[in-house]
Amino acid sequence: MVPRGIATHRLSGWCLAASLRIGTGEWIGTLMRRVVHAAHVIVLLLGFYVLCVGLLAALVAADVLVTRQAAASAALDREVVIAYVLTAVVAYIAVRGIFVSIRVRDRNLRGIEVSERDEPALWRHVEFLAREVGTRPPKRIYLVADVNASVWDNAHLLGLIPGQRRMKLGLPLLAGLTPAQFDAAVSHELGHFGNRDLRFGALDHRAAANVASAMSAARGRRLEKAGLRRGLWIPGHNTVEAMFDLYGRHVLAVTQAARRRQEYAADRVAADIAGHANAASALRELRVIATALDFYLDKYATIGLERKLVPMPAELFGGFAAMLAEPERRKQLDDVRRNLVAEPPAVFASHPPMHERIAAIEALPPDGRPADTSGARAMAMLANPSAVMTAVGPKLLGSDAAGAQAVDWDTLVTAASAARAARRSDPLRLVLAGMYGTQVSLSGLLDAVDAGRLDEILEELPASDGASDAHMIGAVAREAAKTLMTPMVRGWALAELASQGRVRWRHTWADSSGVLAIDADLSASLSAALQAIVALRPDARAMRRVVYPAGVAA
Amino acid sequence: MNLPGRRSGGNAFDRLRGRPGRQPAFGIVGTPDPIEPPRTIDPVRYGLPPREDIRTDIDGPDPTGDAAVAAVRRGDWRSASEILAGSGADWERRTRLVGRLGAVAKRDDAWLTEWLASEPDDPAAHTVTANALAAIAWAIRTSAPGQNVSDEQWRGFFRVMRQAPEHCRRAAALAPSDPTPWIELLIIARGLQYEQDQFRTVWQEVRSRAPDHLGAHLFARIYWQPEWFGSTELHEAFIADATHGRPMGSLFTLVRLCSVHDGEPRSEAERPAYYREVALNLVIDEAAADLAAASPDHPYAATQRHMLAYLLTNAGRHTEAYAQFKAIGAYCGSSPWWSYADPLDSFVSTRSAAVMGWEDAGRPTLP
Repeated sequence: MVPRGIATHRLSGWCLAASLRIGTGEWIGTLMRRVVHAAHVIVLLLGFYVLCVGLLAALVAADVLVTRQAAASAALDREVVIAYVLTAVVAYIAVRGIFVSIRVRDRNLRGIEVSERDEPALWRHVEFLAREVGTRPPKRIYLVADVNASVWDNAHLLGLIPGQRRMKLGLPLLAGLTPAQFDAAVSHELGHFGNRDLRFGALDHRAAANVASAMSAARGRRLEKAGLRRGLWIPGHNTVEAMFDLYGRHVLAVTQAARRRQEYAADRVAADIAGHANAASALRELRVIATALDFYLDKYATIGLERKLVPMPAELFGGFAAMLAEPERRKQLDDVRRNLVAEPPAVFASHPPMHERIAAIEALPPDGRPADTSGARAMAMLANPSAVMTAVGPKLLGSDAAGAQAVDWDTLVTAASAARAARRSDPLRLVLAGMYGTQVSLSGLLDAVDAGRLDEILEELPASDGASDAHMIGAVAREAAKTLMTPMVRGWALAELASQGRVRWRHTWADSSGVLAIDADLSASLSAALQAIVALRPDARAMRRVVYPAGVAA
Repeated sequence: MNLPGRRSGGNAFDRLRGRPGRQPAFGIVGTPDPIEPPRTIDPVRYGLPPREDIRTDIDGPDPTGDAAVAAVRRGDWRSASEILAGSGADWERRTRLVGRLGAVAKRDDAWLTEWLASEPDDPAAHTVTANALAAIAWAIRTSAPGQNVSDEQWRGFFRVMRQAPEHCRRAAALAPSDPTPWIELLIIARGLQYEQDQFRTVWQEVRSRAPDHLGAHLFARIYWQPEWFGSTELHEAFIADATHGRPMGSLFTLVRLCSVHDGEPRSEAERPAYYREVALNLVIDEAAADLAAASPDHPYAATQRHMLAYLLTNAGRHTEAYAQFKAIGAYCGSSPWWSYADPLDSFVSTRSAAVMGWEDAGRPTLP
């Protein structure tokens, strides 16, 4: 329901609204309480519209007043303009808050729609789970790039009239969850709709979602994106934003308890269908997958972004799945899994804290159903995984990747690692730039060494922590600085060799910096040349032969 | 001059596998009484040099070494080279001179670079360079316990230290009968964490050239300590082998004395009991007799005195200790003082303790 905003924070898990199960014995009392609560929420929801309309009405009234005054005295033109602008801004925000927030748009989905024909097995499985849960299956299924799954129906009349039901499934979940864990995730979502006895439950969710969207709209992200708000002061904007915020927080607080009860109820459904062990481990796995995906995006998918290089479309998701399968990474993820810490409590979050949900599932009487340890992944259900991954993969990167060139992993890691090697030499480059009065290449360093100016460079090189002790004087300080300089020179030389295409880095899922692929002879002569530069009698000739075998180009 | 402690960066306890540096053994300095001011003495009234006159670089008079040091400080490496050549086949003196010159290079090694460039086939230049590299390496590493040494410092230590063996080998090739390059390598071997067999090979080279080199034995003993690369058994076997059959006056009892000092309990509270053990006092007696029998210009006489002065004071034998301090005079550049955070401080406070102990005992006649 809420593609953006607080309700679908990536880690918050499976969302969504609908009804609650309650025992028949407490029917009447509960019904009364629910009706009162629902009335409260409806009032709040209507109040929100009243607030928007009232605001607009007040502003229009003010506009009329100012315009009349202006007609009387020609000096008020500026105030008229301000009043109109103010009205326009508030109108924009209010209209967005009322209308825009309540619909999920296809373009806000970071993924693709898959038809029954595209993915028959997936569809059949979702329909099977819907039958198990006792609700109708979705009409549309989207596969998206989020670590999330959700179901929503574009309901009408405050959720009282059901609309077309839709489901989105995060591809990272398919790549990381076992079939049983995946069933738990999907059953949870469908479980929100499982009981029709009290549709009012949807109200809480809808109200919260509505208000959350309005809050984010009021914060003007769209305007900011369009470059309108940066450095531009829109009169009255902060006040409107604060009003929306205050109101929104109240609505979230009122609806929070009900929304959290719904989550626990949906977890029960998931546990019944997929087994307790799988439901609990699926919840845990969500955070593991989210951690893994963040790591993957940070250390693999985006390492070339600065140089406008991205992985091949098919590899973007394929890479994530491959990383999850790498034994080294599996071990690391096992560690993550073992050391999951309780998340910090989020105010007004739609979901109860994950550890409390897991504890609630684990507190259920044992169902004797074992955890799925088959090692299979839900991805196997896809009829055409490569087509799906190729289509959804680029959505992982978003607009940052626009115009970037797609290259293979080796090229990507070579570009990134060469840049990192070059960066390692930054302090040294800075010293030399100061010495020459301009940026110089590695050959500038070699010239300085030949000219006997290495000691000067070493003196200028910033000392590492702890190396500034009093005993670091004379030859001791000089040799300590040489030690500090050695990896910088190596980085500089590697960057230079990479730019000449004489070294590369080989991509590996075990090490995100890749493995340096360097000819054995070159490696040996590079090390020797490096030692010669920092020897007691510094000598740059060997390094010159290694890096510039054909002489330095001017 | 070249005592083990010095080579290990001024602290015989600065082990790679780390044990925290020791504090002075005496309450007088370490834990002054909060109410009563600590007792102090005016050294001059007891015939002792005042603190400000005490040299911290050497353990006793060394005019030849001073002359060599003064020469290289002027950049005059030729004079130093002549002085070194003048030590002839007195390998103990040569080793000490190399150590003194290497220490100068820590601050300024331009003369050494020049020497090596001008005389690339001078074994002395290579031996001094090896010593200087080791000294620089230890200075980068600092004498902190291993676990307190930063990665950066370790990298610097090994990078510099690894350049040293090459100079030892070059010197050894140029002067095949000279044990000093091998003795330098012996010290470097510990820094570079040589395997035991590797170390034994180097030791054989030393032994075959200078079987009675006391300094070499003092360095080698440290390698065999259990805290370094040996074990309690190997260490004990080394000491037994080193001291076996040595004549009185050879000062090989110093090997045992150093191990006694190294065995000192870290906790101050346990030290009095340690130093009052009869066996330990017998070792002290034997070492004192060894010193009495030794020639006054034995290169290790001063070191023996420093060690005895410290151990006697701790053993409560203040009168004998006072006598040793009087004989030491204005020098404290030696073990055991190098083992402590502030060598001069521990020297002066130990000396005060000896004198006050002697006072408390009613000023008995000095031996």
